[in-house]
Amino acid sequence: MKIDKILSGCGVGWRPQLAMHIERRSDLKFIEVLADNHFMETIGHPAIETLQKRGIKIALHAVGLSLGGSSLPDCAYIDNLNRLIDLYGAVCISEHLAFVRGGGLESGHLLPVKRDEHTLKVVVENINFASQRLNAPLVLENIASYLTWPDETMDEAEFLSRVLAETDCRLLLDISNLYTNSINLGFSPDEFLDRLPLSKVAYMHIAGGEKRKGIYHDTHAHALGEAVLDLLSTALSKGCSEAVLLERDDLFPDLSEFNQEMDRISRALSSRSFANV
Amino acid sequence: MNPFEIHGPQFLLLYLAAMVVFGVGAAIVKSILIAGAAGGARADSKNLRLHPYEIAYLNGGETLALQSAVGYMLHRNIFSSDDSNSTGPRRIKAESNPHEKLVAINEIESPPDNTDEAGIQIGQDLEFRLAADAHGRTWTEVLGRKGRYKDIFERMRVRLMKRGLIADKGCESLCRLLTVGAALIPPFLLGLPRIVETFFTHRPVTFLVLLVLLSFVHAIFSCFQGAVRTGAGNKFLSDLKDQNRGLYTTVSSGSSNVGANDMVLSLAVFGTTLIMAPGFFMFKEYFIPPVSSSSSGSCSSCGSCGGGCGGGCGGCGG
Amino acid sequence: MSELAAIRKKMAEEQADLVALLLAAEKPDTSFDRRQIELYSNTLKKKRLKALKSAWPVFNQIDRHEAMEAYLVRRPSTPKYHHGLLDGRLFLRFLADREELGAELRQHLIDFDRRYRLSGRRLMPRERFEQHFYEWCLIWSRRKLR
Repeated sequence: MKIDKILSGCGVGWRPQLAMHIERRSDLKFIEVLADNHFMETIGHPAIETLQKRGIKIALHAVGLSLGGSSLPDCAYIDNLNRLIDLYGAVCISEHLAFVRGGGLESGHLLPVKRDEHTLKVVVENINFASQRLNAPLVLENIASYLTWPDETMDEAEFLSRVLAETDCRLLLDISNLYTNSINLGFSPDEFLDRLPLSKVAYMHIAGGEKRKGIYHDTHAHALGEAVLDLLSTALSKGCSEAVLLERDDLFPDLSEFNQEMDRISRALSSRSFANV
Repeated sequence: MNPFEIHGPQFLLLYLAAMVVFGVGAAIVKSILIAGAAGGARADSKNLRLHPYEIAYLNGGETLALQSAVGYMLHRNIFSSDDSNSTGPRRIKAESNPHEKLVAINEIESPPDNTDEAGIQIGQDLEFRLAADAHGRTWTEVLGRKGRYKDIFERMRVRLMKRGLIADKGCESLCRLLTVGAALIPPFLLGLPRIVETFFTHRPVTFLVLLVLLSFVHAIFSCFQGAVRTGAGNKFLSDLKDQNRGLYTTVSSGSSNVGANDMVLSLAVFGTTLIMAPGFFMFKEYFIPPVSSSSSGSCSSCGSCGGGCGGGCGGCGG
Repeated sequence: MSELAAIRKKMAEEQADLVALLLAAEKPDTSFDRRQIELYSNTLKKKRLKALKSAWPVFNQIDRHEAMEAYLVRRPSTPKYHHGLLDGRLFLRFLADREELGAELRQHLIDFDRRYRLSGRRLMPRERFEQHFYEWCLIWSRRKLR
């Protein structure tokens, strides 16, 4: 099943604080439900089920699978994800190419893996282990990080491409994370895109951020910047999937600000569609 | 078989059965009456163009309509809750010139969505009347003066009736009569004669007296029953609830990104239970006076550990 | 030991070192960029506290900054499930142990325990009847929360 056929158009990361805004957006095609916030649910959230009835597709998003970890993904966590996939009829599940725990400690955050041949083998095994057990196609997301491991033998573009080549997974291309890394680590996002297998992009994330003390933070709490939107247009023009999802996790906007953000994404998508015609 | 030959718990069961039978019977007759009175009117929820206060009236009568209007004024800072008395019920503190502020708001801001001119006028009339009347009063006192808003409520009632959402006055009276009658038949037919009989037989009838009292209380409450919703009215409300699940979720989350009109719509559609949600903290202290130290949850705001991309998306994560 | 197992073992050590470095904000000899580690460590801490305060808004009103710092030192690991929500509950327990809970927070703690119970490492919402049962137990036993 090809995921890029399933997801298209504008999407939003569903949060309770945005439920009203999402409900009133008529051009919405899909939402992303953050699995870790819904593990306690035994029945579907009524607001999400209402969206489902409108034909809006649901993608699940996880943060705790630790695909880049040294041990195989936790089966109990996978079971929880499967329960939610079935509950919401999710068309796919996305997870980050990162690890979140080590030495018995939970970092509560996504940490970058060391990019070398050894790690690649482990990561591929982890991904295959998880995707064989998950009830929906697994999609991998690139993370933002200004932390780099010493003695790495690959850069992010190469590592991502190799992982995608050696697994059946598709890519959730986070434009904001790409932009963040390009600013903080100093590389060209254009070249990065050229080196990725863009036909494997299932959908894209986009979010706002801000620069503090010389470092760009993808805060998910600010309005979309022009530079990030430009990068989105570039990615679209290079042939990325026409499914784009807005992420907002803090300083939630009012309805008009939210609509403005969504309209900007819509315009980027329609100009791409227009170019294709 | 003479029911007065039955004694003890069996008679109580008979009395309870009579309450249920007459109650259910009255409900069935009422539903037939309401269906007839609605005259086949169909309520298309998208084209009714009602003001949130009218929806509140439909949902919870005059009390909820008034509560929604006070809630709106509190949200717009035309009213604030006077906290000079921390133990007793809170009083409304109105702006020095609430009329001017209301006029300014009405000029600048757009009215509630999907409301027609007449609805907007009714809403504004209620707000201006409240602005002139509510300063220095507690919620109970405002409620006690509901009569001052009677003409506005009557306009709401007529509009709702014309749209087939509530029954007409005749049907309403008939329904009220039926409910009161159904509540009073068991005590007059069974309860009171048996109690009188015990003056001579000296049998204990404490439970029966309690049941009879219950019947009378029910009858008294039924006398003050408000507008009667038709099937179309019920459907309209249920559709509104379905269409606004997201609004309910966002308001319940305590998020501050909800405008006054939406806040009031949520109160109108979902009723007073929402007042306990964190989003209504400013209303809660006015509508529900402080009793003891805070008890409603800090965590109620998070529901199922709600907001934010918990594990790793903000900051420098994914 | 297979080749992959050996790689996993080495990887586990490296990742454990990094997590410990970030969570404990230690500054031992490391081949990582010191500035990057410091920045990341601060981000982790801020993010954790933000999640806690977002799930427990009461901590936006009641300033327990010093106690929170001490709590992070005592418990550097974030809960695996329900990050902010469970973290807040554990923080209240930490305050109770230090006898710094206070009446208002105690009330929040009771309210939370009435609504959720811990099952393994996961929080489970209590059914309504269970909530009432919990309340009755609380009233009848006059249990003092630690």
